[in-house]
Formats: sequence, C-alpha cells, structure tokens
Amino acid sequence: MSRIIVERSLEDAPDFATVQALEDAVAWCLEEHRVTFIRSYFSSDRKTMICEYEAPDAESVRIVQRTGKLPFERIWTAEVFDWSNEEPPSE
Amino acid sequence: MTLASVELRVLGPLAVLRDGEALRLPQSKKTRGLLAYLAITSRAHRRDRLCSLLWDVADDPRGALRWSLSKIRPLVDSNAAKRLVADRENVELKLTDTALDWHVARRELRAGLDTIPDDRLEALAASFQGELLEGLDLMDFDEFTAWCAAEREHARTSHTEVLWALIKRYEEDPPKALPHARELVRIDPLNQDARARLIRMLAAEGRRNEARTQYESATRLLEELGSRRAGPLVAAWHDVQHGLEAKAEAQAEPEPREPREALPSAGVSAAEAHRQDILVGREEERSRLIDVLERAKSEARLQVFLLKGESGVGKTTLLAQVSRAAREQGCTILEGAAYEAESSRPYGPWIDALRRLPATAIGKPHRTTLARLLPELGEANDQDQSRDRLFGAVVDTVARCATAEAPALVMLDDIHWCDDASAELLHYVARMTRERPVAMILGARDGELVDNESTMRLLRSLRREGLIDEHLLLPLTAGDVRDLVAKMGSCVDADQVFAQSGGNALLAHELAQASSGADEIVPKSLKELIGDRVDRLPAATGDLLRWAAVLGPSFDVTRLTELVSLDFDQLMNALSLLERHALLDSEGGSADGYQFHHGLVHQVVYSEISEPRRRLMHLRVAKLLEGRPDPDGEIGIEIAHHAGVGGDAALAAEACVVAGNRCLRMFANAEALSHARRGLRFAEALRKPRALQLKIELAQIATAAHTPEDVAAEAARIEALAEEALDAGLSQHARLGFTVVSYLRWQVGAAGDAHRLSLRAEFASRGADDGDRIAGMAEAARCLVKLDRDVPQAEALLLEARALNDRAGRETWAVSDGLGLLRLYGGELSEARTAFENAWTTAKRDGDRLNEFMSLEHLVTVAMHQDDVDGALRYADAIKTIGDKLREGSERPMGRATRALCRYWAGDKSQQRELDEALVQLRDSDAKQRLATVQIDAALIDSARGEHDRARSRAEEALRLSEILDHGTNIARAQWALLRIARETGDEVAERKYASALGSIESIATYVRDAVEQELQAQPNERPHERGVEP
Repeated sequence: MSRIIVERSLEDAPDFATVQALEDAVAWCLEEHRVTFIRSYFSSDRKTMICEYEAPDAESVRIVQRTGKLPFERIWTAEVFDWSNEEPPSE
Repeated sequence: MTLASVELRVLGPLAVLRDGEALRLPQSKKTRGLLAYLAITSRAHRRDRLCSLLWDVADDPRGALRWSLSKIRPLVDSNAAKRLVADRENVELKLTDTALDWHVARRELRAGLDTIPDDRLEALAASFQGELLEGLDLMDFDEFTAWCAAEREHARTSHTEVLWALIKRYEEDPPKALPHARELVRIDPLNQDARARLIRMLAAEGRRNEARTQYESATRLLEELGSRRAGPLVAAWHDVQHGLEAKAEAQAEPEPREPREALPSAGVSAAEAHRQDILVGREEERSRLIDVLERAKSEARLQVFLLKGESGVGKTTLLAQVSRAAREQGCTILEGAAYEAESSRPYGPWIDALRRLPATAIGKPHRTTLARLLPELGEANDQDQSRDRLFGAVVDTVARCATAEAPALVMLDDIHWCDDASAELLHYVARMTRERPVAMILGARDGELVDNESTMRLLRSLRREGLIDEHLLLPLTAGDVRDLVAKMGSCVDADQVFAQSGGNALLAHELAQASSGADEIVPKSLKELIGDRVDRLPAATGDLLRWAAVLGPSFDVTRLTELVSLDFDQLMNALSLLERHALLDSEGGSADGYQFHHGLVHQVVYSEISEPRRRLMHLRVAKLLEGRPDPDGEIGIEIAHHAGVGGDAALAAEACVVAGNRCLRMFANAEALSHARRGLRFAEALRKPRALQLKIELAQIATAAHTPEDVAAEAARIEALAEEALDAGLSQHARLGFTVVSYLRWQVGAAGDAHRLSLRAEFASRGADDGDRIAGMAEAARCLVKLDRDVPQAEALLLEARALNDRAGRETWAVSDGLGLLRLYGGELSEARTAFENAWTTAKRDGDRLNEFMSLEHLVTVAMHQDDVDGALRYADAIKTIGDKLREGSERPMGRATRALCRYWAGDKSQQRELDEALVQLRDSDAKQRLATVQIDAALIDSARGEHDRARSRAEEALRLSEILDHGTNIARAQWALLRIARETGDEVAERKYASALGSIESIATYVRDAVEQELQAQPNERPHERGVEP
C-alpha cells in the first residue's frame, strides 16, 4: 500500500461536518478501491487542504475523488520519512 | 359387437366403471389426477402442457407422462374402442356424452332447473356423492390445484342450486324436503339461510330438539370461526322458540338422536383392542425386520429395508412393533414419518426424528449446525453456509447413536410422501454410514411411490448399489383375520370380515369393531365405518376432532386448545375419548403431541368437513398464527399452508416468502421453489403495489432455488416487474428486481444475497436528486466492473439507472459507459462498442473531456480485441489529443502510451521508444491498472515478434501491479502472456507454473477467460495467434 496525498484548494472554507459528509458519501467507493483515509490538514484560512490516504496507487484515489466530485488540484504518491520510527543506532 | 361401456365418476371420489362394475384404479395419485383432468376438460392437450401440470420438476417428465398414460389406457380402452388418443404431440380422452357424471349434470343444469322433472332432479342431487374428486389433492402442483379448486367450486355451487330447487319444490311436503335441507347444511354449514330453513322444517315436523341441536351447532361453528349469527338464523330460532311454527308441538316427539359416549357394546375389550395395535400373522416379516437389526449389529454395517404395501395393510403397526423390540434391545431410534400435507415442509420426517432423540444424542459441535432444523437448539451458525455441513451433522448424530452393542435404528414411515430434502438427506446418511451398525427401515405405499420423483431416485440408487432389501406386505390371510377377530373378542363371522375386507388389516379391524355384538357384518367402506364412529361422538368432541384434522395428521395439543372453546378438563376428556375410540393416539416422546390413529382416519375425518367450513377453519388457524414471533420461518411454512387453503391470498403469499426463505436457509431448494411458485399464484390474485412487491420477493426465492430453463425469458419477466415497480414508486423492490435479473444472467448462484447487495446499492445512491442518483448508481456500477467485483450487482444498478433514464428521457455518460464495460466483461464486443460510442457522444455533448477520454480508452480496448487496427488507430489519435488537454492525473501519459501502443501494434517499430517513454510517465503518475493494461498488450506484441526478454519483463511488471490491485482480469492476462512466452522460449518450469496458476483462477472477464482457456488447451506448437500481429 502507498501513502497518497491529495492537495485541494477550496473557495468556501468548509467546516469539519461538511468535510466529514463528503467523505461519508464516498465511503463505499473508498472501500471498494481499498482506499483508507488517514488524516487531513487545513491551512488557517481553511482554503487549502491536504488529505492523506493509504491506497494501492494514486489512480485509485483519483477515481474515488472524481466519483465523489471532490475538488482537488493534485494527487501524488508520497514517500514517508518518519524519523521517530528510525531504529536507534546499534551500540 | 357391442362395446363395453365406460363411465367415469368424479362427483365424489374418482371411479371408473366398465359395464357398471367399478375397476381398480392406479395407485399413483398423479395418474388418477391426469385421468380426471383429461376426462373433465374433454379436449386435446399438448404433452408438454400435461408435463408441466403434474411433472414440472421430474427428471424425465415425458417418460413419467408416458408411464401414467400406459396405466390409464387399460381402464378406458378396449380392443374395439380406443378412447385414449395420444400421438407425439397431443393427448385426448374421448368419452361419450353420458360417460362422465359431471358433464351430464352440467348439461342438464345449463338447460335450466325449471325444465328438469322432479325425479330427474332427485337423481341429479344423488349423483353428487361428495366433493368433486374427493381426496385427489395434489398440493405441490399449483396449476392442477388451481384447476381442481375451480372445478370443485363450480360443482358445489351446482349441487347447492339443485338442493335449493328441491327444497322449494317440496315446500308443502317437508318429509321429502328434509333430506335435501340436511344435505344442504352438510355441504354448506355456514350458509345461515339454509340452516334457518332446516330449523324451521324440523320445528314444523315437531322435532324441536333436533332443531335446537342444529341451532346450537350453527352458533358454535360460527363462534369458533369468528363469524356472527345473522338475521335468518336468529329469526328462525326466535320463531321456533315462540312456537309460531311448532304446530306439532303437542304431538309426541320422536326421541332425539343424542350423541352417545360409548361405542356399541362389544364392551371395553373392543375399544381397548384399538389401542393395542393387534398384530396378527406377519411372523415372517417381523422376524425379517428383527433380523435387519441383528445383522446391523453383527456385521457392524448399514442395513436398509423397505417395507411396501397398500394403505391400511398393516405396515405402520408392524413398524411400531419392531420399534418397540429395538427399544427393548437398547437401540437409539430416529423415528419419523412423512405426511402428504407436509410435503413442502423440508426435512419434516428428519426433524421429527431428531427432535425425539434424547438430549444427549446431539453432540455439542453439531448443535449450532442442526439448529437450522431444530431452532430450539439455539442460534444457528451463520458461517455454516453449506448443505454438506448440515448433512454431515446428521450423519455424525446417527453414527453417534450406533454402538457395537446396540445399532442405531432409522425408521421413516410413508416415504412415498417424503419431501425432496428429506430423501436427499436419507440418501446421504445411507452412503456415509455404510460401515456403521445402522439399521434403516422404511415404510411406503408401493403404488404411490412412483409419484415421488426424489424418493424413486433414492431407491433406484440404493438398489443399484445393492444396499436395499425390499418386501411387499400382502393382505392378511383368512386365518389371520380369524385370529384378529378372536383377539378383539368379537363374535362376528370372521370369514365375512375377511371377504369384505379382502385382508386389508385396517378395514378388517374396523369391520370387526363396528359389527361387534352383531351376528352379521354390515358391508361398509372404511370411510363409512370411520364416518359412523365420528358421527356417534358428542358434538363438541366431534368438532375437536375436525379441528385436529385441519391442523394435520399430527399436531400439538396446545395449538388445538387455542382453536376450540373447551376448558382444560373438557379438552382432556375429549382427547381421552378420542384415544379410546382409536381415532387419535398420543405421540410417544412428546407431552403435547398427538396424531391420528392412521393416515386414512385423518383423511376420512378431513374429507368429511365441508369445503366452505374447511376453508374457514384453515383461515382461522392461519390468522391465529399470523403475527407470532417467527425468527426461523418455521411458523411461516404452517401459515402458508393454512392461509393457502383458507383462501387468504395476501397472507398466503407473504407466508410463502417466509417459508421459501426458510427452505433456502435449510438448503431445501425444491421446497423453496415450490413455496415460491405457490406464492406467485396467490400474488396473482392481489392488487398492486403489494402484488408487485411479493412477486419480486418470490422471484428472488425461485431464482435462488432453481435456475430456470429459459434464463433469458425469466430475466425479461423479472425485469418487466422491476420496471413496473419503478413506475409504482417502489424503488427498493425495483432495485431488488434488477439485482435478481443480473444474478440470473450472470449465473453466479448468489441471488440469495441479492437483498443484502441491493441495500449496499441503496447506500451508494442515497440522498441525491434523480439525476445525481442515476449517475451515482451508474458510477458505482462502473467501479464494480472495473475492479472485477460483484459484476451482477453492477448490472443490477445499471439496469435500474437505465430504466430511470428512459423514463426521464435522459442520457447519462456513466450509464452508457458502464453498460459498455459490462458487455465487454461478458465478451459481447460489438454491443460494448456501441455502448462506448454512445458514451463518447454523450461526453462530447456534455463537454466532459475526462469522460471522453475514458470512453475512448475503452473503445481502443474493444477495437484491439476485434483486431480492428484502423479503428484502434483512429480512437488512439483522439485519445492522445484529449489526454494532452487534461492537466492533472494519468490521462496525458496514458493517451500518449495508447497511441504509441496502437502504432507499434500496426507495425511501426519506431514507436517502441515513444511507448517506453510514455510508460515512464505513466509509472510516475502511479496508475497501476492503466500501466498493467498497456504492458500486457505490449508484452503480447513483443512476444509475437520474438522479443521475449522485453515481453517477459513487461508481463512480469503487469502481473506484480495487478496483484497489488487484486485485479483478477489483468492478473489472468499477465499470466496468459507469461505462459505464452514460456512456451515460445521452451521454459517448461515457467510454463507449468503459469498454466497451473491460470487453471485455478475463478473470477475474470469472459473475453479473457475464453482466450485463456484456448491457450491452456493448445499444444505448444499450435498456439492461437495473438490478434494477427506479425512478428
């Protein structure tokens, strides 16, 4: 599974309930494509949003976004560098 | 030469008379039904129509029809007259105008009652000797049942008209009118006008006590059936009470015929004799049956024995004796019987047998599995979705009961009425317990076995395997009958009893019983003898017996208490009286279980209840059961039966849905189908929208239970129902209908899940307006096909979306493209291409480039599979142009890769570089399915050109990507390419690996499956050529 990032620009700053409702509407489609929602980040003006998913590929996430008519600018596959999970150097 | 005259009587039990003498009829009920049908309808019928009337689920319906005709021919034909005319297509029974009593009656009545002279009208009344085709019910055959019910209704109305006419003609002569008034009340006991007329006549004749009895009987009957006394009855009784018509009151009144408690006095011994199941003769049979038990024990192997004989010959009594002997030997006994009225209750005899086992006999691991049959064992395990597990649990239970010291005895009586599921289970148990000390003793009426297709199949198979020993139980000898009469303590002439009974044990017993104390026996039929016995019961006890008969040959006494207005003591007294009179027996092993002393006793009591009363009684039972908690659908099967006979079509159809679903859960498909068909017949009588809802629910059951012969026609029929439901605003049922259609078409055998899946579709399309909802459904469907998941579900969604679109005059891209994907998946390439072309046009109209791109992508795929190079190139150019205009996503590299691929395929080898560069971009965009699709096509082209290394590397990448996506069709295509490359390079290890992998693939698109199968069958040196590509 890959980590997929979706970048969105939003004209009207939505509240969390609206975002949740949009996600719920495509829940079935997400499941069929084996796409799992991880988390979202909002800019402070709520006009830019980054969503993080786990999916077999970026295209699966694209299909879901298009099916659910969710606005997006770019969708790309990310490589995760998580320093906190690094193995401590052997002694 | 004079021709022998042949007469048929149907106004009462079916009879055939030759020169006035009654012939012995075939024992096969279906054969008798066929004879009656041919005689009454009196026209030619196509053979296939007759097959569907009586043998719709038989293995060889035409063979069964031929067999039945061969049994009818000797009854109606003679050397000089061929009345049964049958050719390859048609069958007709040609009778003379006067040969059938019902035709004669109808003809005379048509001429007008007024024209018929008194004596002829009397003769007509006398010709109605009971219900039309009395006892000839074939409940499992809906068409026959419907036809028979209509004829019976017609006959009853005619009989009623004749009787009223006679009563009116003899208005001034009450003694002549009285028998007809009595008969009218007997056949129509709920007709209050008729009852009022009888009460007035009796009073006028000075028989006030009898009039009172009639009034009370009517009142009790109406109360029991929940009806009200109406004007005429109340008025008649009022008049009688006030003596207005009791002119003869002062005259001496004849002693009323009061019911008597006891039977005629051969004393208690005769009554007692009933209970003791006296067994006379049969020593040889008894020792053979005991020997079956002995051999099962000594050889520790299965022994199967079939005891055959006509009804009443003594099979059940003999089996009961053997059962007692086995119990004394310490055997565990699984004992049950099949009943005619319960043939749609799956596993009926097995359920009874398992229920009677001691609690410890069913092992803990099997309790949740067997809970499907015995809900009292607890919650059934939903994971146990297999009939094999259920059968396995029964086998283990039987095996657990069998020990070296005492074999298990499986004793099933009357298996000629066995339901399909029970017969299959019996066969399975027999096969799986061969090496166990198990004795299986079966009882059956030999003449009726032939009507039961599944039991015949079982017996044929056991015979073929040499597993079964059979014995025909002959009638009692004169000596046996003398013994019987002596043991009963009767002083009646035993030789007369023998002559009258022909050695039939039950009839001999009844004759000796009825004539005890008399010097001579009164020649009577079994029906008359039992009827007399019932008539002598106190009125309330007689009614109790009738309610019991309506409940069935065996019944639960607590249910009976809810139907009759007797308190506990009265009920117990009545039951013990019925036991003393050998009409009922309490069932061993059950506190509340009772059964009729013999199936024939039940049949007589039941058939003596007039048709209208019977209908209302069944209806009352159905209403009593309606609304009771029924999580397992067990009560639903009962309601379906009672409401069906009671004529409440809505309740019956609803109960058939519950019953059908229960049968499906129990893997009893034949019974499920039978409930579905019966339910459909009831639903036909209902109004919309309920009729539509029920028809769709029943179609779901029928489809899950049985694949129709003409799938396309059945699918079209259900699709029309779904569209009707859509028009009627029944969206959930419309969706269920479309889902059933799609499962039927895709034949995946999961239609039982249709309801669950349709809920998911509902979820997928909730909360939007019409246009969005259609698009949502179609998008969901596209998604399913593209992912190779639930293709039937996708079709259901698309059918519904298309129907909605048609109604709104709308074109939706996703619907056309989705249908194209479905057709492509199903291998229908030209239909797919048309649908994709439509989708492309719609996308262009909508100005939606992304949708345009996707339609073109699909058009390229179809054109390549059709070997249409020019078409593919044309679409590829268009796709490249549009891809270049799309900013984000994988479309731009995909457009570029597709055009390069098509040109490379068309022979432009320079395109390989362009293709590989585009593939790098496609990889970067992380669109694995698109990348895999292109790589597989490219691999096949490279392989055909001898570029095996490159081909292999492409196919391996495609396989890896497709496995990540779990995309079955592309996995298969990649393995197919790798198999071909392995064959071309002589790599046997890889060849075996991919051939084996492809052999085990299940869910892939048809167009790929065909190609894969062709490749698998081909020898390495005669491989099919990939799309005509030249190396």
